[in-house]
Amino acid sequence: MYKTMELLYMPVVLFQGYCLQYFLGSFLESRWKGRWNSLCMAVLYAAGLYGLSRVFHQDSVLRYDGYWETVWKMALSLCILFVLAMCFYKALRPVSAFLVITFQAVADISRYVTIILFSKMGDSVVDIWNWCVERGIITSDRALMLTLNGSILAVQILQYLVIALLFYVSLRKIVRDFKEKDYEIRRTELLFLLTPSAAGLFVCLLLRIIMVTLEDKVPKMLYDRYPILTIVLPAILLLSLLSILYGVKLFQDMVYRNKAKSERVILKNQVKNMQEHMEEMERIYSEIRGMKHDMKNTLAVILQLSMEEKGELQEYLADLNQTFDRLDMRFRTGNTVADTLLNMKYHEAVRLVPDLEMDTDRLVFPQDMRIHSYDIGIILGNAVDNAVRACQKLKEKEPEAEVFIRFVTLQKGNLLVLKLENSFDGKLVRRPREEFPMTDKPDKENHGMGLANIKNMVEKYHGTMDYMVKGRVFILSMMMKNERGNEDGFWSDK
Amino acid sequence: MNIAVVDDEKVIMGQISGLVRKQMPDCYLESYATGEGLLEEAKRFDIVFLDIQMDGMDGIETARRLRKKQDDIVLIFVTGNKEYVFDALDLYAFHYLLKPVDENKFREVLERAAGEVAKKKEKRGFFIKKRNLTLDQADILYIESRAKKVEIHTAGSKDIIEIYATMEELDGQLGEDFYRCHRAYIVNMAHITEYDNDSITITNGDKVYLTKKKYGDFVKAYMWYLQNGGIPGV
Repeated sequence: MYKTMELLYMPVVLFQGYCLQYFLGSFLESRWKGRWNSLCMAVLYAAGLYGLSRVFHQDSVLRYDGYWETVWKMALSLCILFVLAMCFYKALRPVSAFLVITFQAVADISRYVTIILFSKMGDSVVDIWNWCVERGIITSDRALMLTLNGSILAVQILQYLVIALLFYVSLRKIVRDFKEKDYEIRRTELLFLLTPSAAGLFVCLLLRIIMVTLEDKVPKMLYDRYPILTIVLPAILLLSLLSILYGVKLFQDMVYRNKAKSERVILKNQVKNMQEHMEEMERIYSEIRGMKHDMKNTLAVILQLSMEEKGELQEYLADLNQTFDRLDMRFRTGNTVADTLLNMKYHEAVRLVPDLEMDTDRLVFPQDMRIHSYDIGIILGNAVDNAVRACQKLKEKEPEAEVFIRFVTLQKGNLLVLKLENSFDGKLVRRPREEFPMTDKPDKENHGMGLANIKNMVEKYHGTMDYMVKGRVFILSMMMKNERGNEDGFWSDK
Repeated sequence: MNIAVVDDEKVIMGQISGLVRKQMPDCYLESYATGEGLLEEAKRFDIVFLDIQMDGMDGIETARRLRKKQDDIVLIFVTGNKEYVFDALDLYAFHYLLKPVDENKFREVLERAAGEVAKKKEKRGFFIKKRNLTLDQADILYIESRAKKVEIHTAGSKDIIEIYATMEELDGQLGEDFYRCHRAYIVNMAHITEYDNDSITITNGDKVYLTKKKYGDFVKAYMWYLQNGGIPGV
């Protein structure tokens, strides 16, 4: 019987090891590359746990004399966790403290809750069989022993399953809720996160210490004396588990809100930029109007000059030509803001990448655009910036490469799809569990916002964005409903 | 494949016809100098190149009437001035080429158009064994699960077909145009008119549920569907 229990314990510790590598692996970057790495750690952790249980005789939650053992065991398993985290992951970050303590706390809480709930069940199973014996349903001793052992084993297995389930579900919830995994946690935030976990850990310790008392030299469980505790204790433990989970959720919501706020500040800046450009555009137009007015004057000057020196006339005409060039609209899309923006971006871009080919033949915006021009400007601006940067990078690496940006619009009903294809070097750093690829700009805090800004915008218009890589072509696709967006944006963040 | 070229300028007509012949030597090609000429013709065309600025009936009006006659026609406008394209935007989907016609662009557009024609002609069957019935997948609007039965809502005259099957089975058999938007619904993305955050409206006016969790995924899938040949240019 004892041997079977021992055997049963193995998968449990192995499962804990698996959970550990899942939990840490979701947050921290692995130190070594390789598939067996995490498996190796899981096995090591399981071995450590198993070793601990051998050193301290056995899993001794419900024994009277050994609470010091539990204290030591807890301290040692925390140590093991820290060491493993350090060895296998780049864990020199504040978040590791949270991870290790939370992992231990969740493990202990799920174990204690289940054990307390099940201890009653074990007793009642024995009662049922006793009742059966009295009624004469079970007659032989052998049969009784068999059913007893069998049912105890079944209860034990069920108990382990419940522990594992509770444990895994809680960890997964934490991993899911903790969305901003790269966020550097500050000290107060760390304390805020650590408090519920540490409290949970100590509640478990407290329970262990007061759980068993001696009464006439017979060990008695606390909840035998106060039966109501079979409900109260699990409730306390579960509440403490919930407080860990909600702490994480709350913290993440806060981080998310802060991030959204800073993104909005950037957006505001961009809108301001756009307004400046619009003013610039206005000025160009008024200049054109002025020039039309001045046509007579200009002609007079040309006439005058043609009578005099030839060189001066040529100079004047060259000047005039340049002015015209400056006013020339290279791109026509049916949307003035888009035209202006593309012209501006094009002139900026050709300075960096002289032979950039910008194809807007298939970029047409409908006449009844209900999407705000500013928003179109922000979307196009960010998308073009990204594309130009990719082309520039490609050009630096391979000066011979062909560089292009192609725009296509499609329309279906009130849906507007905008597609941007650009050449790039074919290397995209995707971050695991992140939506957008890595920015290659040195200032990571403020950059890498481009795609996030676009996403905010298209979601404001109940649309979406996505990207695709086809060999050395990067395809960014955006879809919007052609209607007035929610003014506030962030419509579908959940 | 039947292709018509309509242009009142002989030079352009000749250039386009030449390019078409070069790319698709075995197609049936006919050219017309006016829109009226094309409309009087009884023959059905798959692809029509249309000049927008023409004497008499202009390209846009021609297109409008042509659509009434035959709504699966694939239009390619040819214009010297992009501004004219804006006028055509309220028409159905179409492609366009800017003059002077660039050979590479021409090839790309004609390829897309031909692909579209092929897609319209291709019938992907969907066989229902128990009824001994074959449906064209394009005719399926959406599929709804009702207890142990599923209802296949179609655009054709058969309307609703009830069979015993599981959604998983059907989902596996149907092509990429179909999306499982809810436990009890599979929609054909070709027949979506509108979506919002918890429902999708089908061309026949029915509304089906969209699972909250799938909203983001669905919108993305639909976007790529529209891009990859769901609808042609513009």
